[in-house]
Amino acid sequence: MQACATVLTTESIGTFTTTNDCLVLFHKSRCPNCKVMFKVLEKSQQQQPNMVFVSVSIETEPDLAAELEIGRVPTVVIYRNGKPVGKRSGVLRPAELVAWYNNS
Amino acid sequence: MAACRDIIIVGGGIAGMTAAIYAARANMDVLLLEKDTCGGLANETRAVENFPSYSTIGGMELMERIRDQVIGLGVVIEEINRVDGLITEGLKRVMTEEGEVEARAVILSTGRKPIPLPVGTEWQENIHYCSVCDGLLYQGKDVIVVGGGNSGFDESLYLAELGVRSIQILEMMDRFPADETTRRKANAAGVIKTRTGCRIIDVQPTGNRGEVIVENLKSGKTETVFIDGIFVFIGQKPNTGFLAGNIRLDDNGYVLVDQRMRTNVPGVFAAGDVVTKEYRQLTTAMSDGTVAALEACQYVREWKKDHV
Ligand SMILES: Cc1cc2nc3c(=O)[nH]c(=O)nc-3n(C[C@H](O)[C@H](O)[C@H](O)COP(=O)(O)OP(=O)(O)OC[C@H]3O[C@@H](n4cnc5c(N)ncnc54)[C@H](O)[C@@H]3O)c2cc1C
Repeated sequence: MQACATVLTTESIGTFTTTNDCLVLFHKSRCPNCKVMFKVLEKSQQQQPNMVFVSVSIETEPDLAAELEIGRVPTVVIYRNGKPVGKRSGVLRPAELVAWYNNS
Repeated sequence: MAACRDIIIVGGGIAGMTAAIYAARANMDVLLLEKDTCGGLANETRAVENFPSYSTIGGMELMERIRDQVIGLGVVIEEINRVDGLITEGLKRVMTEEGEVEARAVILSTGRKPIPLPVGTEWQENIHYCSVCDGLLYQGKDVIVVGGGNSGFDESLYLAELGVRSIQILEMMDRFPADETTRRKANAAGVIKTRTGCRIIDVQPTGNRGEVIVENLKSGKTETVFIDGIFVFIGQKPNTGFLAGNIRLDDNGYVLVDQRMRTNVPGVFAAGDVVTKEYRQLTTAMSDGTVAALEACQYVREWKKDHV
């Protein structure tokens, strides 16, 4: 659906999140709200360029989604120092997302 | 403030995108503002099977093709930028989440949004409006689908394909509005039960599940059902809240237009599902978008003649 965010897998998520504080968007294809959240993240990144955002498809990584208890999409998880510190599902507006990221 | 545009289109569904194509090809300077991503309701339709040129195509794919065409014509699209207000005296001033923009003419094509379940509850986390987004949560579980129209039946079939254990479709009317073919497909799925003449009057969380009180509208008797989630498909209402008394609406909140898609305010036009009309389809929204754009272009040309 969207090619712009770095795509993580079960193998790469651990190393990536320990070396980068980031937002991980869990999504699936043909999900309209996921499409919206990709754009929201892109727009938020324009407002806050140091914010790193990556994505995981729950269709190609079902085991990872199950392990992290991701049932709904889109779901965004904030990682700091390799640990998930916040999780929200559904569509957020860019201002809401940036405020949540900065306060997590 | 940015330079005044010829035409601002509010809403990037098929009506707004069609209007953008026509206006751009008439050499207008066009800005399209979209609160989410372009495509609107059609992004949620898995298979469109009545759109001339494709016997079947995914709604999202169709919308992406149209969006590419719009961009190719030089239209500026701003997605994730919601319009919150419109001031209609003189040049039109459009208030957005990101500031104010001006135009000589405006086309309103904001479509509709789902009607929420009309029952207050603390169990909101388990009430859903998008089965592609949330259906997976209910693999091996039991759900109620509210609404027995084509959407209710189609979405139930999708949930059944995902592996939902049982699905009960509840319809208030004493017959299902969904067409015969769709109903037959659902019946064949084996896990879908259907009931007419009933409605949900209360939903309460209980442990991991929900306790739902269903009322039989004929007898007035109630029944308690325990389920894991509710999916709601009971129709749509127009996105016109932001117009705040400026533009004349009908009693249900739809924009009133004449045959040339003109609203009561000169220079403001409307198109698609958001206007008062009988048939709301992709093709009728395209037709409205075409007429609104041609009229808006004409309005802008006259405006420019009067303001040299
Ligand atoms: C479940 C379902 C299945 C359907 N299947 C078919 C089908 O198979 N074939 C068919 O022909 N028709 C179908 N339809 C009908 C068809 O989808 C609609 O008629 C058509 O999408 C209407 O297009 P529109 O551009 O008027 O509105 P929409 O598609 O609703 O687009 C409106 C756009 O405006 C945006 N918007 C809203 N408010 C604002 C704001 N304040 N600021 C900025 N942007 C805003 C919205 O985000 C949206 O993108 C279906 C409808 C439904 C609900």
